[in-house]
Amino acid sequence: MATNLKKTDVVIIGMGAAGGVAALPLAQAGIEVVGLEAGTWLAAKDFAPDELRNNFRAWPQAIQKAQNEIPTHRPNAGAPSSPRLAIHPMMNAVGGTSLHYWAQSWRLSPWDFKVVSETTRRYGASRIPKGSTVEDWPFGIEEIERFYDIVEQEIGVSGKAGNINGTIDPRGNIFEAPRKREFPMPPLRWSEWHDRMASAARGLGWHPFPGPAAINTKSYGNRSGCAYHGYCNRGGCHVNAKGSTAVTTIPKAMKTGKLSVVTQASVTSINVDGNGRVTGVTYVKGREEFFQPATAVLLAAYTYENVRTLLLSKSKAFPNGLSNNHGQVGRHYLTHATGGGVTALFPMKLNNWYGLPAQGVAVDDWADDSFDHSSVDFIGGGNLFVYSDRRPISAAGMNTFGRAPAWGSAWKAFVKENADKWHGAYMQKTTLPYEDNYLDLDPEVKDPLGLPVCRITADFKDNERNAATFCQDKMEQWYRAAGAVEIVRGPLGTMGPSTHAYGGTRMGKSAETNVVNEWGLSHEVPNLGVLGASIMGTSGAHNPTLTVQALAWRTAEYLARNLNKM
Amino acid sequence: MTSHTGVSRRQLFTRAGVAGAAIFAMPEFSRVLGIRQQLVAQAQTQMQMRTLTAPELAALTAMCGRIIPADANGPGAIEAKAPQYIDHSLSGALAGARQSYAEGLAALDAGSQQKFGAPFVKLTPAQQDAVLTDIQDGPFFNLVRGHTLQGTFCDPLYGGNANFIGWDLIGYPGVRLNVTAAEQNMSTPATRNHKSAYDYLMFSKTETMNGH
Repeated sequence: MATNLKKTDVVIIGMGAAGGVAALPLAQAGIEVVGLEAGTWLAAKDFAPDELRNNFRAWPQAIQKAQNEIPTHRPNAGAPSSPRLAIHPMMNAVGGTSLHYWAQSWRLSPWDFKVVSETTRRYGASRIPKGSTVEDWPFGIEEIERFYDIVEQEIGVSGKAGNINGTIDPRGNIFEAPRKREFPMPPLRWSEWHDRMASAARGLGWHPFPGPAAINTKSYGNRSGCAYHGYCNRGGCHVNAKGSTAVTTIPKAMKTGKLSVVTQASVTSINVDGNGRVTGVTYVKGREEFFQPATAVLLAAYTYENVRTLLLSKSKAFPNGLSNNHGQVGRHYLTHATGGGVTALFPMKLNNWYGLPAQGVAVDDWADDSFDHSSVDFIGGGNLFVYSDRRPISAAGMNTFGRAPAWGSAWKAFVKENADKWHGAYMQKTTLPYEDNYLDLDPEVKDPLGLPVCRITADFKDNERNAATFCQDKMEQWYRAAGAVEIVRGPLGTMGPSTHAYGGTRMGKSAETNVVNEWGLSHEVPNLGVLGASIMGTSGAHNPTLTVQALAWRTAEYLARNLNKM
Repeated sequence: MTSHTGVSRRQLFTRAGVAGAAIFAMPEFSRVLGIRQQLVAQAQTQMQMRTLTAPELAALTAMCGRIIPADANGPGAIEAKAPQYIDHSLSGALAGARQSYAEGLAALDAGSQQKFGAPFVKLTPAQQDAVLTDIQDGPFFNLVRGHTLQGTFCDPLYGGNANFIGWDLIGYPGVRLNVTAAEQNMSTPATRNHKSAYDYLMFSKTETMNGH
């Protein structure tokens, strides 16, 4: 029998990148917030620069809830399951995956909000891929510029603006939508390697610029600037330069006295009354079960867990899962096409041993609708990104470009010579939602509590494959212009568990095809909101986190204004 | 750098806690003495921890020695103590692979017997390479190859990369907590410092259980 706790105004499920941001505007509005977090607090001492621990052993996370709930995947409903991932891409802790993410903090492009109408206007409706369920967002980028700006200031984003109120600056991204002001901090520095790649891009007539990052480049607030130590990739920051919500918005919200964070709390269901209104949240902490009543609930776990929590929360009013009477929970799933990489071998050492994945040169000439698509066989495109990030085990595990065997003396001679001479680009390509790509509950695989894990049924289609090949061509061109002597292309991979998983609780005006409305609140449950990339219907060509955080702030602000009507 | 036994203070403390509970009923003096003796014994066990049988470890060692051999380019996986890293990790983070090692090493010897009439460790290096070439595209070889890379290039905390053999081989300059702009440039790279993450005392050595 669950212990009943004292009622609060708002419960946020998950104190990660999204929930950790949403807590702040609520707390600042004087609203009582309980933040439930499955993980624990972590601090600098937990963030050793240790490749084995970070990149091979699911650290940093003391509580491995996600690790016990790794979603299963199959490419389509008739196919057998793919091999299950050994490590969940996300982590549990206060701050969530914003502790160990790359912290690339991008705004989306205007086109990403209007894929259907803009594609139709420019190229005709027939260019929307067959079977895609893509819709325009309920608003354009202008609507969330203010929220992008707020979050950039709160978490501390470094970068160089390319368009301030319409004035273009070629030192920044000339393709970005107008922003009201410069970034809070200048961009992460470039090394000779970055300069070389930027020159090569300019030589091709492209427009390289430093990528934006939620990483301090100088002292900001009470946090120091980046130390460039080389273990940022799946590693926490030992100097708190990374703008995780654990060191920015969450402590700031706690200082108001309005946010209390409950750690090691695993939510098992969201509860509703006979009228279909949310009454609170049931969670397990230790061996005890608790019920936390609330006026409103914001579900802010990761995409897979948002969907799973709704599907597991069955009631008389919602027999197929909470907010699922239109059968839309789990639909419109997509993962960013980040596979299909390009790896290059250079004739000289690049000195990439230090730095961080966000310290990079970006090119958006081939992203979204930056270029004319009349003569290509896809819509959208990709962001091309090269950076400085290399650690010993992965360096030694390098591709041998057909020049050496995979082991033995000849291999050893090759890696001795070339371990610091290769580079793999990061390319994020437009991915669209499709009718037959979706999430549901796995009929067989369960977590330690006996609850089914999330099952992914999804595969890339021609549009994604064609965009990937196009971007590989461009990336090869770029590397060759910079002096690369060998190039290897990687496969696009699967749509299995990803750090960039979207959809499942999509946001849109129509309740027939979307779970949440334009404010991020459920179409079916008036006092339930959903935060995270699960509400995004398109991926664009850039990392999702800043958009997730801008939307979280916007939903929280709306909820703060309207809570008294709930 | 300090010597790393593979046992963190926290691990010792945790294990002593369990032992302490078992002898809680003893009088105070004996109890304290008992905990102390348990601690010492456990530390010794941990340092000498063997997961594999002696013949298994010998075969694995020979295999690691062919994957990254000692040669004109310097010491290899054996000198880096990659086999020892794998052996004790098979009782911890890599425990899930224990069965694969039992089966794979048995198959390695069977293949050696079939091809050359002797177990793997008794073959010449050229014969060993021939046996490994037969299995190089299979899952067991690639499991061992991956773990050999881990054991050769990991932080020395884990018992591998002994004397920084792996890091020196590929030119990794060592762990630094603050890297200057000059140290990131191609023309002025950082100098080798032979520092482990755990030479910086701010970091705890928390054990991790989920490995692959």
